[in-house]
Amino acid sequence: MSIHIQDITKRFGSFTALDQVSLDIQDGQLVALLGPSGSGKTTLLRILAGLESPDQGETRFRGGGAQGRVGFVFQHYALFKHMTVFENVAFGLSVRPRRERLSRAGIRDRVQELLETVQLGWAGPRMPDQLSGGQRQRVALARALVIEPEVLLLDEPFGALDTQVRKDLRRWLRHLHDQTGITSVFVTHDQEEALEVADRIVVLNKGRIEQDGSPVEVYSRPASAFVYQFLGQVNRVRGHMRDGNLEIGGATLAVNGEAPQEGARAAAFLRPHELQVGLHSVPGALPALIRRIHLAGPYARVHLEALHDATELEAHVSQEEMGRLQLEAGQVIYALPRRLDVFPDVPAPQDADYVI
Amino acid sequence: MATRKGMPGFRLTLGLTMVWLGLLVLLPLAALVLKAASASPAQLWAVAASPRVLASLRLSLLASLAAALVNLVAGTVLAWVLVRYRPFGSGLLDALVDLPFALPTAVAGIALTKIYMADGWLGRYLPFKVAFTPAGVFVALVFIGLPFVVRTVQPVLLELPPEEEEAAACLGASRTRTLLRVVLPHLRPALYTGFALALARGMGEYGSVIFISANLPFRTEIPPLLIISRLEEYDYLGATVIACILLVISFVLLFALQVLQQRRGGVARHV
Amino acid sequence: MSELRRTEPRAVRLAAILLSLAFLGCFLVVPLAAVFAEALAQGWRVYLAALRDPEAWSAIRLTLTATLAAVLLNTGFGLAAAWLLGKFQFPGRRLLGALIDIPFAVSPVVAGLMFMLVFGAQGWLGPWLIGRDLRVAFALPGIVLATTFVTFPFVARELAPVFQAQGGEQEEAARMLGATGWQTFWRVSLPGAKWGLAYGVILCSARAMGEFGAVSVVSGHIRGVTNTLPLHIEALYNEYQFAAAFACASLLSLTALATIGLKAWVGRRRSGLEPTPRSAP
Repeated sequence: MSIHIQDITKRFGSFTALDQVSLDIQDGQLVALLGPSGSGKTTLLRILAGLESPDQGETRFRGGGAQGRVGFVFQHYALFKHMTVFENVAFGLSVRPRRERLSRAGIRDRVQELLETVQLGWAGPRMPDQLSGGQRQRVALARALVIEPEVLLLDEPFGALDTQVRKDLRRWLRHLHDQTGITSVFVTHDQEEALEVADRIVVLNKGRIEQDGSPVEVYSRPASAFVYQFLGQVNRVRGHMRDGNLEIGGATLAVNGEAPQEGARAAAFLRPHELQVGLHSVPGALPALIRRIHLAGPYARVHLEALHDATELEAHVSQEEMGRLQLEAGQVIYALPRRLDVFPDVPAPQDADYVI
Repeated sequence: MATRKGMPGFRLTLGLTMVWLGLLVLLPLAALVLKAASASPAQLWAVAASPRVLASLRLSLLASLAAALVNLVAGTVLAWVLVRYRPFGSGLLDALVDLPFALPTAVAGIALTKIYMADGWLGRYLPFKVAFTPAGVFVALVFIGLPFVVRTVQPVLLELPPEEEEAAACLGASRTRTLLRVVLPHLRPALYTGFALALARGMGEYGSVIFISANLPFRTEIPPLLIISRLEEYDYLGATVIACILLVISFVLLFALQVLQQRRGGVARHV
Repeated sequence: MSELRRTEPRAVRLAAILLSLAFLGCFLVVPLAAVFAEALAQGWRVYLAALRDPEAWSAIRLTLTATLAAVLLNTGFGLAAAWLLGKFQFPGRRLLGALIDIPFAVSPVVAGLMFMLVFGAQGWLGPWLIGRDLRVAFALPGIVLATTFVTFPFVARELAPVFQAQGGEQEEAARMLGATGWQTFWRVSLPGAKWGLAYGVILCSARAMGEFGAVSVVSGHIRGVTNTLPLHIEALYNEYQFAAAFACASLLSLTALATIGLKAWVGRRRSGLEPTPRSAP
């Protein structure tokens, strides 16, 4: 079933949660609605579910049965506390009108099948409070899936779980989606989660869509400064525009993207792995002081302070390179940006509220 | 396709509640108020200022006040003992606190009378008369109001964070100091509430008082009794006037309580 | 380092405990004991005869009927009111809560008077009722109404905070799974609040059985017909039939003891599962 969202606007009092949002979700896609709190992602999901109604605009579901069954998974599971796991999962089947309802045996089989799918075949007689968070969320998923929904909606499904459990369940959800092929939309504020799980990421900010694309697109070719900063770590440097290039601390560097006007101050972004560290000066490299080095992990994280204007930078250096360069805190090195992106609407460089 | 799947039943429950409230509460209340309003000021004054009515109001107010004060102190101590000390059998004692609530007022009334009569189980040991005097009224109202303070203070005590008392002790405060300056402020809203509830209850009490008071005119009559005697004389207007006075007093009391709770951020009685 | 003073000195504790025991004993235990003592003062024969008296029986029946009616009505409407107050936000919600509490603020005798003014012979509906040969005042309906009024808030006040604390997610989940409004209420919301409901019903029935002042005004004191058990006790007492009066009183005392036992038991079941409202009994 595919979903077509047209010009949805939703206001709560004077706060605009969604502002003319339009979106198309294809059948079988796994879409992430990604954004910070207040971006409207949960509101959009709840409108899709029918739990809220938009002030303007409409949603259309195409290609499914007349029913349009929607499965919904809540962040805090919303399991029925006074029912067993089995009864929870069976609920969607047991409330059907008599004509449509399966037989007791039919329900039992179906529920057991689903519990096996979520690897909780043994948990049927247990009460929700006897299960761990990860187990409860799997029950919630089973409960939503038992009614064979055409669309699956998940509201920050792993938000309430421990990091390791979150990682495991993420992978598990992707696997489940590949098996069932149900059109799914999930809301998250965790970019790592979105990048790892989704076929497509819709980045929302302040009720508007900032970018809509595949994980690679959104990460490597961000459409705006907001998206750049929201997905992945970011270095930010300041300089002036000169002949379409950025002038920083004596160096002149080529930039990508729509450049601000000639002579204007500009801010440019680059990822930590796009900042190359060397012991010798080369054209375009910025001299910087090494403040701190974190060696533990898949790569070394080198915290730098640019000498020309004390900007803080971070470079990711492979362990191999580290071995070769023998870097130490207090050392002055030369940092060469391999790529710089500028955006026209970046606010004045003095502001301090950007997110790494 | 997306239909509104909000919380069901708003219109139904709103309708039901309004109808029920209207018929059962607002309609009779309106009848009372309108009846009183139909009286001329002279008639109102004649009833309200009559010596018997004034005497009964005075007795009711004073006895309720005194009883509520006693319950304030005793109730707090009781709640403290039940929550903090948990002596043997405190489960039983805790349940017993509900007795004045669960026991029909008439039963309480005759039992208390028998006990406090001159030759009664307790009356014989007391050097002064209790039954058939204002003191008897006082005793009955203490009985009736007993659960109110205890039950409002208990939950607060249960949720009191022990860290605050521990912090005070670490900082060198004596136990008395700690109790007064750390614990008491937490309890204060509950104490006000319990006191006001006990007071309001005492003013309206009928069944447990009329037996032990003997209803001696000008001495031990309470306003509810006067309402009934007026009714027996078919003086509906007089009864209504007295009833409205009582109503005004309890509404003022509860309104004051609400205001106090708002200002001190106390426990809200209403949902 | 000496141990920090984190609780009262032993002497104080002992004194407090003894004082509390004395207070409870004096005001609660002694009267309770007196009821049974006086009931049996003239022996078992008199005791049983009092309970077998036809007027006593009619009083018992009347009390039970009125209590049942009041509890059913107030449970039904209390559920609706609690649902409304607990699950929805709307302008006037606090006012509604205050209105529901009105019966607590009204003296029982005043409550009885109010109903007389509506249903009595001289009341608003008096002539209309007499015309249709319907009796409300001085009859069962009046007693039921008065009792229902006085016990009106109990179920609503106990349930509303429970409904509110449940939040709305379980209901949303149920609706998403295809449940109708009623199915959601019966299978999801109500079972989650059953102890709060039980508690409210217990409070409601205890109060209804013991109601005296309001019923006193409305019933007309017609022996054998409109005397509830408390009124019957009053009648006996005023005729100096003390043993009989206390015999009937002992019945009500036993019910009261059962009530507080039930209340304690339900209260314990509740405290682990549902939020308890901070309210007076």
